[in-house]
Amino acid sequence: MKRGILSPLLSAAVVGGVILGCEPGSVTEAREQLGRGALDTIGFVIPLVNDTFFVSQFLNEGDTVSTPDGLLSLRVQNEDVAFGFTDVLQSAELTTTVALPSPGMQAPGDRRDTLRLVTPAGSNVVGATVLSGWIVRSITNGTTCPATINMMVLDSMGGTIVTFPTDVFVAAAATVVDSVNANGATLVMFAEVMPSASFGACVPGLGSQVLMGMTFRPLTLVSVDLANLSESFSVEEAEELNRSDLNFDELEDAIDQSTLNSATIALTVVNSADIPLVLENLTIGAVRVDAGGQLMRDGGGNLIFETDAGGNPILITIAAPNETRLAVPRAQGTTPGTASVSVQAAPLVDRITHILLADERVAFVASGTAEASDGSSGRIVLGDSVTVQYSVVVGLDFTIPLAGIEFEVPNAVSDGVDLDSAEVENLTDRIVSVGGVARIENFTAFGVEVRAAFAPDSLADSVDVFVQPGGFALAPIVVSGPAVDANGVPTGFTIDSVAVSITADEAGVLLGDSFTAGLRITLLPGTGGGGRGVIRPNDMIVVSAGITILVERGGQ
Amino acid sequence: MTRRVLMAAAVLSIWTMDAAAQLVPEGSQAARVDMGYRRVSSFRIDPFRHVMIPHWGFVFSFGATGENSVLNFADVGALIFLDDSTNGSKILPGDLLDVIGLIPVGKGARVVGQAEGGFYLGGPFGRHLSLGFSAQARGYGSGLISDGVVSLLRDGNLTQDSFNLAGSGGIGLATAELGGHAVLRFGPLGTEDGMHLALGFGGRLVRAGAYYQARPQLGSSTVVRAGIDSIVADLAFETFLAPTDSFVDRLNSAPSSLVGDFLIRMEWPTNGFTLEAMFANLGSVSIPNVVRDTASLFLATNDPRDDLPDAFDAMQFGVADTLDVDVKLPQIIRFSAGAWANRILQLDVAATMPVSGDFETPLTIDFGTTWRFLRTLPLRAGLILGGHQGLGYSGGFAIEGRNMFFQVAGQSLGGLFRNAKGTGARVDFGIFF
Repeated sequence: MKRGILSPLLSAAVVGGVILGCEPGSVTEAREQLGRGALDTIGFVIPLVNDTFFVSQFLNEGDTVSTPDGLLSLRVQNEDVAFGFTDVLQSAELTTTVALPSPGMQAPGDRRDTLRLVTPAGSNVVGATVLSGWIVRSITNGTTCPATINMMVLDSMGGTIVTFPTDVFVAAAATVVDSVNANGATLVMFAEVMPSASFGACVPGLGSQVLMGMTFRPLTLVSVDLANLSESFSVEEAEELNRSDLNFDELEDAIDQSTLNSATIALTVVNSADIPLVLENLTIGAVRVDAGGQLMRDGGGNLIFETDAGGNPILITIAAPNETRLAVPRAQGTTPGTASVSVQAAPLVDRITHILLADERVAFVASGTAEASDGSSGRIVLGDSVTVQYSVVVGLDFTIPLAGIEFEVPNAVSDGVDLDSAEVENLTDRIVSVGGVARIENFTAFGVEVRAAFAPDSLADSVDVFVQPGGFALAPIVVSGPAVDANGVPTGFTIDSVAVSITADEAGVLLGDSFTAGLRITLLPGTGGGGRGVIRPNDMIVVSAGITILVERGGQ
Repeated sequence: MTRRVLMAAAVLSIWTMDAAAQLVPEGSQAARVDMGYRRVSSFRIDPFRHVMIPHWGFVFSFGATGENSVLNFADVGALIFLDDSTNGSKILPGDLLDVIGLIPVGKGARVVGQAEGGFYLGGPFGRHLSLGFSAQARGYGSGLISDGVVSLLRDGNLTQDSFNLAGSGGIGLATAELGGHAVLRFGPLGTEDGMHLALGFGGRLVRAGAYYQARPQLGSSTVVRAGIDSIVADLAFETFLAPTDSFVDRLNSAPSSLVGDFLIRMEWPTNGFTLEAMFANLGSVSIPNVVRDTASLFLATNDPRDDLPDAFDAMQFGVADTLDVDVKLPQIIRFSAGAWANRILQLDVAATMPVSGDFETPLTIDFGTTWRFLRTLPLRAGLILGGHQGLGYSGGFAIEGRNMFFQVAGQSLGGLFRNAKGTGARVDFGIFF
């Protein structure tokens, strides 16, 4: 055992002695000793950046959808435009006068008359319930006898619609007017006025009469039952859009500079009334809103719709495919009738988008006519409405301006080699040359320009690495867009790489404790017509960058 | 340089063959040396080293060699100097670049060491038989970072991006041995000046006292790809460690393995010509209950500065299993020849065949000269060709008395003194009855 320990100790002592005897006399001598190898230049490729940028990552993921065509799209917040049936639920004033001539006044029912509620368009009202309004009675006693008057107001089923005070005394040659609140009154088919008068022992003169007037002031109805529907509703409803409805995130500037070539408005018309509707030439357009919150109109009071380059209003007709109208079924019980349609509205959405991105006010305006005129019966209840729900899906189908659209990528902080200044200087002295190698793989429909810059230390996103003192930038790399089909969909991808030179001092940036890389990606017009191209969910740009360092060693 | 050395070796070989035919007058120093002492001591493992001594007695011996493929003594001295802050210096990246540049192309960074020490007791029984018994401790160590990996740092990844770890690893083995060897001598055969034949054989009971090995896991990927945009590696490693009982406990509990050694030597005393073949270390050592630990390193990154440390942090060795391991000892096949050149000079050449496996050693040719200005005080100088270093030098002297034997030898591998990348030393001391 002792020998087992002794042996390595002895050998270590011998080796140690030999080594100690070989120690150099100075630092220079020591470095020359280590540099005794042949002079050689070696090259290292050090990855600096390798990132995959999905274009979709510049968008709010919750707002993106894929269209059936495979395009990445933005879904703008859902909005509603609604209109009700107030016209139908508002009756016109109706009046009738029944004369009770003498003799025979004592016989009630001898004189009577009927009143029928009508709709503005002439549909037959076969039933109604009054929400509010008054019914006025006027009694003029044209005889020489005082009279006691009674009057019944019944519907077609004999039901009392309203009850007036009974045994109203009206002096000879006098007039009495009274009224009752019709709130809650109901009627079926029509109202029948049935007055009666008595004169006691007095006998009116021959030819004299009592005039019984009945006026249905305009009534607001809770519900109305209609027959032989023939209604037409004029619609003009607006919903102002908010700037916050658009959430293009980092694509906002891009879209602001682009023309949107694809936008779909998905419309769902919801009808809660028990009448069938037809939207006839109902359109959606955009009208700017003035500072007072009012839709802008011309001198004639007409809405000023946004127009296209030809000066024609940009109006999207809400209609079934290949038709000019959209039929909306009636509600069934509590289930509303619905009809859906999706219309291409790229020009309108493009216009609205740019107005909103310019921080100006604009509203969606639905205007036109809604008709219920198929001759059937139906019922409208107060609160019934037609709601046009729309959802705008903006397909990312761009026409990019020639100058391109630049995206800023957050700064990326990387650990350096963690060398101190002496070590950096020692290493940079060895550097023969430094080159940058960058490769771009472009899977978008557009051309891509990538610029990269590096600066020492850890820098916040708010710091522009490209102008940071002590930093350096690689020459821009431009990769053309791939071929695209007629719809701007790429049919392949492009790849390119570039080598650039940087100085040894610049390379020293990468050798410190940490450094920050800044990237700027610019989409350039693609090869499609007018630079048009689409963005698909998986469109991406792969950026690989590294440095090539040639260092010298040996040769002492 | 290597070509020139080999040319010199070839010339020396031819000269040696000529010398073999040269007669040495009777009574000269060379002719009077006992046949046992004519057999030149080697730095390499030689189980018959002491059995050939023609006297009864015992011998204490120690020998060790160590070498590496990168740094010479002056380099190590320079690194120690630079690392000493009192010198106002420190090791800079450029220094490391220089050091990495010293790693020989195609060989990788290798460290090899071997040591032995022990006690021998034995002697001759008459003219025809010698017996010897020995108790030895031996240690073998070898480590290699393969050139496929080293080249990543040495040659860079500008022109290649694939680096292979295969062949890298390290092994250390310490053994205790009890040996018994015999030499049968015959001759002269045919005539009075005829050939003397010596046949040696023996065996050693070997027990492993310590064992450790680390290497890429067999069957795993060993390739690291480091390209412009990424570094990808899916590596697996395994280590083997014999139970770390005390060395004595370990020896007591470990099973013994039998290792065989054989020798045949022919000598023509009139002209001093000798031929010898030796086969030694034939066998393996069984090591039970070796704990195998495994760990994997997976890295697929385009940001190595951040991810590389994390990958190494995640690499944790854990016990995979326990198994019995057979370690094949570095097998020795050596052919030697010798002759008198003149009255005082003996020339020898020995070729040790390459060894593969864990203790890989290239072909090594030892050229030796023994100068006997005094018969009992041989002076030795030699040249080593091949091996890990390509070139080496050896020297030493011995005192070969009737009652004692003392021998000292040293070697400088890869260069002389401060330029040496390896060294070796050997001491033998014997007392004869």
